[in-house]
Amino acid sequence: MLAKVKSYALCGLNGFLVDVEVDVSKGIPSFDIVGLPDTAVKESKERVRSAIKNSGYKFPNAKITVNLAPADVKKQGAYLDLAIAVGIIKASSDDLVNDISDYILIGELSLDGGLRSVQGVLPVLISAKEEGYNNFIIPLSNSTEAGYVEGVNVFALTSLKTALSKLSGGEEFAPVKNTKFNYSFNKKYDVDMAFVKGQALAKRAIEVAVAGGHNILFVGPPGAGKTMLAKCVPTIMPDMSFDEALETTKIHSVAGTLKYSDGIISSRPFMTPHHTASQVSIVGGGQNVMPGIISLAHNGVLYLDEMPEYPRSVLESLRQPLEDRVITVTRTKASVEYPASFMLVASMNPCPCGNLGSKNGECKCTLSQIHKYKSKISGPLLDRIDLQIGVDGVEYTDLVSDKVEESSEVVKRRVNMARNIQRARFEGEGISCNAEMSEKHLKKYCVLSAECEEIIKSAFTSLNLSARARSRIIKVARTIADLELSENITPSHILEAVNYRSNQPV
Amino acid sequence: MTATSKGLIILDGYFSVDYVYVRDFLDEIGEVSSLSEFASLSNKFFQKKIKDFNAKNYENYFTEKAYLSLIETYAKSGVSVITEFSSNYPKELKEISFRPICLYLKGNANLLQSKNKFSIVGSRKTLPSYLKITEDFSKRLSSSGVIIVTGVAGGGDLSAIKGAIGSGNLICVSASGFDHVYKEYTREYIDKIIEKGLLISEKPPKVKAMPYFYPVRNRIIAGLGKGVLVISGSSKSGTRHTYNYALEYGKDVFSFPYGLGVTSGEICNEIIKEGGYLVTSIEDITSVLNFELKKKEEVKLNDREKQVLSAIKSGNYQVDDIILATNYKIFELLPTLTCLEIKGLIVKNGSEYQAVDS
Repeated sequence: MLAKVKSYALCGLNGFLVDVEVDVSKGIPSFDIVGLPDTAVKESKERVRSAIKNSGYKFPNAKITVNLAPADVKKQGAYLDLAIAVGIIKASSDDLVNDISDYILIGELSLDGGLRSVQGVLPVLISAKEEGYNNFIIPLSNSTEAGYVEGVNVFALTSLKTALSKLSGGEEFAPVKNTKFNYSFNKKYDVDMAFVKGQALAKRAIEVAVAGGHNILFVGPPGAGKTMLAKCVPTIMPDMSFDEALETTKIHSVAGTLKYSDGIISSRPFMTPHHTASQVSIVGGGQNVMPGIISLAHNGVLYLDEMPEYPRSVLESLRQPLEDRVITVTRTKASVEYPASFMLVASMNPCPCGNLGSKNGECKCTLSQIHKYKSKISGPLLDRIDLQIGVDGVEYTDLVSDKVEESSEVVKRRVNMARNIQRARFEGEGISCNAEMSEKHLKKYCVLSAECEEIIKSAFTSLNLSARARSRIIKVARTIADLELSENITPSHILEAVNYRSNQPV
Repeated sequence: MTATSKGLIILDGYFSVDYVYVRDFLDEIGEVSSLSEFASLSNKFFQKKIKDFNAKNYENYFTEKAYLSLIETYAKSGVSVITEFSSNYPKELKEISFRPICLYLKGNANLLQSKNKFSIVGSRKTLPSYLKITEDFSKRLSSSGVIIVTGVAGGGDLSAIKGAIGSGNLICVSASGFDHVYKEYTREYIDKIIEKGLLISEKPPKVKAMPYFYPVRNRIIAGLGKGVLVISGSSKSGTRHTYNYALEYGKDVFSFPYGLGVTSGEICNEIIKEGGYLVTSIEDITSVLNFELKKKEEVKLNDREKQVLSAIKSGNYQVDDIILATNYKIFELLPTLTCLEIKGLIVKNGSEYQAVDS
């Protein structure tokens, strides 16, 4: 007899329908899976056999052929276990008479017939819903993330047996309740702007950077508080919208970094890859074309501590995603586009020993060492970092002072206002913040008065700025104007923007 | 050109005889009347003094023809050469011991004749604020007709060059020959130096720099100037040589004061301690050396700028401190700081600001 069961598999962030066709016929007993399965799918043979047996059903002693259609796409992972098992039971006995063509079955089986969680349930549900499928059976442990998909009936079950009784109409199960996206849910940060004493310049710079989505680089000696400042960045970023959260969660779900208890990622990710990380782990790739760190940092922050320590190839590979906000990872098996819209926060020392220009220490580096260290970060990459700030350590007395500093909450409110202005401005332009402006947008939205032009000109001649700095300065000035709710860029905005460059000796 | 001069130019161009032997030789013979006399006398002298002096064909080089072909090759690349017997040999150098025997010149040779020369030296690792002040000093002095003498490296040399290049009153002393000038930091300026100012060296164009050339070169810098301004230097820095030469030649030495523990300024504080002039404004130099300065344009400041500037001048270098002193909000302060920076009154130094006063 022939049975057809529907399931889903993933390619990148998009799911595709997999028709599991099972034929049980007389002949020498055998069990074959065809249709480009990968190792995990091939191995499901053994899991399915044991699961069926241990769930109290009879595994047919016959020739079994399982076809996974479409046959030309490689199927990865263990999503299809449940569908194969149900297909075999339906094809071999008449226990299951109901029509199950409405249902999409997803889940990995354990040998005792239990349903195990799988990666990427959220993206699968979203793509299946777009294709018009409404009924799903998934493992119970994936139920939290599934709760965020509206308008579908998802049954989160514990075992093959319960799944079969659901499908045969024997027992009623309640579908997974829809979870309302809660902004305050899960939002705990270890740091707050109020904890950072002094550092008024750096804090203002962070505020401006976040308000306009600009990348930022801190240059300073060890112990100046660069990392602490960087960690404050997500605390003042605007709350994620549901769409943003969903997008980020999809990526984390595919990468398997989503905590099942969380369900959805509602606080902005803060990714800190170590500088020994490989290019593939950062950009994405591998045999299964998995998303890299930059995609996991989507809608959040990518923090590169000690930037010059990263291999040059890794740093250069960030250039294109910084520009396009997506990364296309291509391997022989597949070519997948992952979103990678992150804010780059980086820190570095001014020289290898770290003390150049510091008031507390002596720099022991030779000039060529310093040049070599600085040249590790290429000009084109630096061009994409709009704010470059020098930071130095805080005096001990400042560190222990009781002076009340502004909390992240207050700064965030201002940031939110500036972001709203930008969103309204770029309606229909395909960009959302000032940092993403191209030359075309600069001409349209950043018209400078003659006075401002004059200031930029004199700043260039007297401060030896490079020609590339111009558009950076104007973009940042636009953000400062937005923070002040000012419609036009005024000279003081330009002047402040000029200030955000690090001026190190040598 | 006298026969002695010609002989010395040939000797320098074709044979690399150590300076000390040539100096000894000159001390012994004084001037000669013909090239052949120079050849035979020097041949004898060097054979006696130098163990493995290669004398083969030595005397054949000392002909008028060889001299002319040498001069011609130099002239092709715009280089002229003078010796200590030449009439246009700078007076200041005549007075010093171990004066350079030959000087190779590229650019406006007249600059050497000016009486008002002033040397500026500093280490390559100089704090940006001091560089800015130096550039400012160099600019004001050179535009008032003082010839700035310095090296061709980065840091202190570079800021002196930047300041003086506009007026062209600039002499740069290279340690190597002109074919191998150290351009790492001055690449974009070297052509301008030759065009408007003067580049000099005591080595023939083809000679590459050896590390020990630099301290020796510094005696020319110290010797040329009426006074020497040492802007920075750690206790081991090469600027110490310039300082020592300047003392030896009886030049006035000027120096910027530095804070305690600032390594890039150790030598400056030492100079001041030993009796050098402490420089906080350009008048400290001009009054001692009788240089006349052109009047500087007044910079107009608004109230906020004045307040911030005075806060910085009274020792509040960090942004946090300036905020405490002035009570301005950070977003009010930053534009003001940039304004002052553009007007050239303060300099950003990593995360610190420093007032530039001249």
